[in-house]
Amino acid sequence: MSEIPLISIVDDDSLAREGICELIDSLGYKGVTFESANHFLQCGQILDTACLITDLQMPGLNGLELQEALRSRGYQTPVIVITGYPNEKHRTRAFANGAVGFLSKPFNEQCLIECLNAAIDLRSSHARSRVAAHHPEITTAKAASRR
Amino acid sequence: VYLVITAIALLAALLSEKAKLYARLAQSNKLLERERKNKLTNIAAAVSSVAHEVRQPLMGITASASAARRWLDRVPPDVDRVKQVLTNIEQAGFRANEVLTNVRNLFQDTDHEQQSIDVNNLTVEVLQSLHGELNDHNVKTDVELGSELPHIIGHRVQLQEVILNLLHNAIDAMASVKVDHRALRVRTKSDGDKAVIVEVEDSGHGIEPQRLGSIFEPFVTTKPKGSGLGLAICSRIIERHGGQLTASSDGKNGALFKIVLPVEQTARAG
Repeated sequence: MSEIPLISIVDDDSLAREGICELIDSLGYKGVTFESANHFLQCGQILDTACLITDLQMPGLNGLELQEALRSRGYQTPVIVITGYPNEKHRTRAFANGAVGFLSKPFNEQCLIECLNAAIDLRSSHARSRVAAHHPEITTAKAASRR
Repeated sequence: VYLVITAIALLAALLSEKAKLYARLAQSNKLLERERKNKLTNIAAAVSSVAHEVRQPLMGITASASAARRWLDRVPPDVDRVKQVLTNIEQAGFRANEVLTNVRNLFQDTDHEQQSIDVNNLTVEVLQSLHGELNDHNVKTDVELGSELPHIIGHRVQLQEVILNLLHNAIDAMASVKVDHRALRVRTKSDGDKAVIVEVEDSGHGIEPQRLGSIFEPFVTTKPKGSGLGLAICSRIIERHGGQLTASSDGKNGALFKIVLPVEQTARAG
């Protein structure tokens, strides 16, 4: 039996965070919430996260910086960036960093479902290439920390 | 000949007077234009702030409603979960309303006459309204009120809102530090008879120095829970009182926000 995919949600606003988590659970995934980028980075669940949904404007690291922090540490976690204040510059930067989606708050559930499907597909293709290359993730993480 | 010379001199004098009048007109047009731009910037900042703050509860409402529909579609429907979700939706609705109430209060205040304000009094009032919240967060509060502060002229509710925002931000900033390290210092003092100063200092993790320059732009900064208006608006309010709102921090040991309000300058209406 396949495991229920874990979706991590980072948002400093508790109402938005809990609402999105509720929706994630109702879609049959397992949602877990974090109130800041640092809480997520320190949680020890990054590798288990099938998709990260992060708010953009947050105190501390913002969503785009969190996305970059993950990449620089060698994680390939698919990321969906969400924001209550969308602009083209942020959208371009999010996609340039490999985001699977950039959604304006409040978003429609169908848009979220499409982004989540894309994220899960991306993750399984990463997993396939990992198996083929004999645990390259560990190598990647080490290489990243050496850099 | 004499008549011709007089006529030319008169004409020259008239022309020079006309040029002066045009210059004065151009100058006042420029001032009007600047004032209009200031107003637009204020409105743009206010609208963006409100939009951003209202979208948070709206996000909670729409996502929760979608979730509730899915819980009901299950066989059997998960009614308990739906009840919980409905409570969240209710809360989010009230939060959105709170943001709008705050904005309305701010704009109502600009319709009223400015008044003479005792800044010590104002500060104490705001602190008292936050008494419960400060206790709940175990924040040790140290208040130092300057003696014989001159009164300033301004919009009372607007200035209350600014101090309230700074205090909320301070409480939020200390949420992640140990309970016995949560110290809030609020000081008022005068800069001779020129200005009145209010300082709000927290013992949170501070603001990285490279971020200090941008925290007064809309949404770059922390979001005050509930009250809904950010530092961008606070800064505009103080500027409209002819004063200045500044922040300093070493990025480690807390942050200090300083409001300087001139005694002489009268805040412009609107």
